[in-house]
Amino acid sequence: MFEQLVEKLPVGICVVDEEYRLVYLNAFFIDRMQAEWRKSYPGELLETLFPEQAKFLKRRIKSVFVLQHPSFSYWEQRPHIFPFRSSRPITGEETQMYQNMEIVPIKEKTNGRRLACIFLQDVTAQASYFKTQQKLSEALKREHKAQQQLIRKLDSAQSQLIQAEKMASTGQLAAGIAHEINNPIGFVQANLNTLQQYSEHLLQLCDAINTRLQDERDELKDFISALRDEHHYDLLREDMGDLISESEDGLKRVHDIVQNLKQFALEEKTGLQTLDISEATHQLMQLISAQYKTPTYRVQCASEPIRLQCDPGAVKQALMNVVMNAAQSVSGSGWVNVQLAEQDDMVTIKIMDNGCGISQENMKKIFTPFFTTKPEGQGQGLGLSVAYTAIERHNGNIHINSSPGRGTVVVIRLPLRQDKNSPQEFASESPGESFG
Amino acid sequence: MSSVIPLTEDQRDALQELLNISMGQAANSLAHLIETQIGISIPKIASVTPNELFGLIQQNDQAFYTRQSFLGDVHGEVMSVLSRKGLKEVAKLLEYEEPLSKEDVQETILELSNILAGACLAGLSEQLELNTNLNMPTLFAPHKATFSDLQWENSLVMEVQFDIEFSSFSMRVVFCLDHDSFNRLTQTLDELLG
Amino acid sequence: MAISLLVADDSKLSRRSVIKSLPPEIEFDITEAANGKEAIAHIQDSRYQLLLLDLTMPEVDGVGVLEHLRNQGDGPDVVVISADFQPEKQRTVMALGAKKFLRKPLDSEELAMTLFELGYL
Repeated sequence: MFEQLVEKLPVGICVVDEEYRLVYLNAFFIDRMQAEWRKSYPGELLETLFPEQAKFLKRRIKSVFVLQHPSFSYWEQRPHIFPFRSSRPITGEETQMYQNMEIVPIKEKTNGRRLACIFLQDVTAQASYFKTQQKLSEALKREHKAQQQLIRKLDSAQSQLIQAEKMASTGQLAAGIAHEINNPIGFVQANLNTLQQYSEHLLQLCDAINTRLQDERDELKDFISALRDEHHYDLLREDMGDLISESEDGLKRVHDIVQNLKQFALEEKTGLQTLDISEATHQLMQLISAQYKTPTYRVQCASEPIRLQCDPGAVKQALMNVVMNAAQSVSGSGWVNVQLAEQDDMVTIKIMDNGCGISQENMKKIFTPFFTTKPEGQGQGLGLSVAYTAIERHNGNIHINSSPGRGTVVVIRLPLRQDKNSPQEFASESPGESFG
Repeated sequence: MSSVIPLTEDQRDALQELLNISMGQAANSLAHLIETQIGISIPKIASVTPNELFGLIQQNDQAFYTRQSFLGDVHGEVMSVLSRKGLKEVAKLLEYEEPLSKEDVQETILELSNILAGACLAGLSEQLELNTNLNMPTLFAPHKATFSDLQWENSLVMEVQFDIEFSSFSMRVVFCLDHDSFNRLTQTLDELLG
Repeated sequence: MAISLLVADDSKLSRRSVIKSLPPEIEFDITEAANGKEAIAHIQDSRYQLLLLDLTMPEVDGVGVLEHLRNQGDGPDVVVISADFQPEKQRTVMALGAKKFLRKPLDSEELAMTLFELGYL
């Protein structure tokens, strides 16, 4: 009965002796081998029947004999030990059989002869299931990764939106402030001019009286002289001019700020025109190099001209602000390098410098209006905000990379043509505030 | 490791000696197979919590891990920690040919675990006249989280180390017994100590 | 006269089994050492005719004891009883002057044969 059972087991059984000669094969093996061996296999060498597998099998069998301990092999590492096909030769897609193998030491009861028994399991179903699962899990992983990337993109888009929103509201505020300040500035400036003239007249008057008094009687002279001292006339005379010219400087600064605020608020919309951005860059660099003489300047242009449809004022201003920052960050043997390239309907403007760089902490704030690291009075903290808004309005983008102490790279990308249906407004082309 | 070892000094001593003998047999078998001398350590025996077991196993990331369960008169698991260092040389001794594929390396790890852990367990079972059968080893990566989830509070572990000096390869084998098996083991040890 | 014997093994069980395996025909004067360090201390204190020595021990191992004895000269006859019986290990201890290598678990008949060969029986 046991013989029949072993014969019919759905597991391959192969018994070999210490000389690697076959002692027994069950139907699982025999059915899958050439018919000629069906009767004649006993006593044959393992390598005669399985020449390709013999080396590996012999090594494992040897270890089983030496250690008297089972040896295992799995389909994951060694999928097809024996050259068997999986079942279903007619209907199924016939594939190589995936196998798990276990070799165990046994002893013949009658004479104590040491043998090794190979158990071979067909695990094709499990293996293919496992592989499908693995593919599925990999696909899931890929999807998950894609989603994560999407989430990151969304996050970055959201922060850009928030930034844009902030800019817009700051812009409105700035426009309002600019407008409100402009009026008082106007009359303060006018009054100051008049005041200056009046003060000159007054001083001349006093001086004339002084000169005339030199020849007069002592009584009046003493009286006037006492009055002069009482009112610190000498000091007053000396100081008045300075006070007025300082006030004028101050007013000029306020005026500049207001002009910049207006720019930032985009009140001055000149409309779309075609600008040769390469030429504009050359001009700009000349302008800046005249003002900031420390760095070496270089412009590299892949092709000229590069025609950019834009609001020239805004784009020039944006570029100027960025290049100016670069120039101001450089000291000693520094350089500012601007590269322009045209690709896929976009122009890429790269502004590089080897200046002081931007700290990671400041990096978050660089586009925030009124943020500046320059000493008080030397910068308004509007340059990059202005640039940012202008570039956004042109459907472009600006990215800044910086390594503190080593330098900064600003990359501006702008589309060569503006979409007519773009939601961004360009004053001259906009159908206008029909309700207004 | 926990200081509470639920064994008497005599039981611990006996178990350690039996393990020592099993290791000797295991080392000798492997030495015979790969014709290289193998260094063996003094076995360590302790009672550990799941977290301590994790600490015992996960000592560096330059290692491969396998586990294998055994059934029979005593039940438990064997975990083997194999150094990456020197593994290639051992694979060559096991007659794998260079360049080694990922599968060759995996097979070497599984085979070494099976041989050493198996021989150790077989030696121990034989001396204690217990019947055990070792299942096939599988590769695994221990995670702290999965150890914290373990249901037991304390487990007896026996730790042994094998070294193959010329290749700087080393391998630790940790045997863990479940509670019933631990009682069975102490009973058998007591009979032996008689 | 009793033979002075030192049994060095870190396992109490193992020392007990070695002592139990000694042939009853001979009278022994037995001292026990739980590691190599203790064994060396005993050897320095008094003379032993025979040392039954384990290899895998804490502090100083069996090989360490053999090396100590070789430097000293005029020591006891050493019979190594160890679980680590790899051929290379056996060669090492024999080269260090051990008279015989016996495997663990110890076979009492094998021990008796050895003592006979060494002239104690």
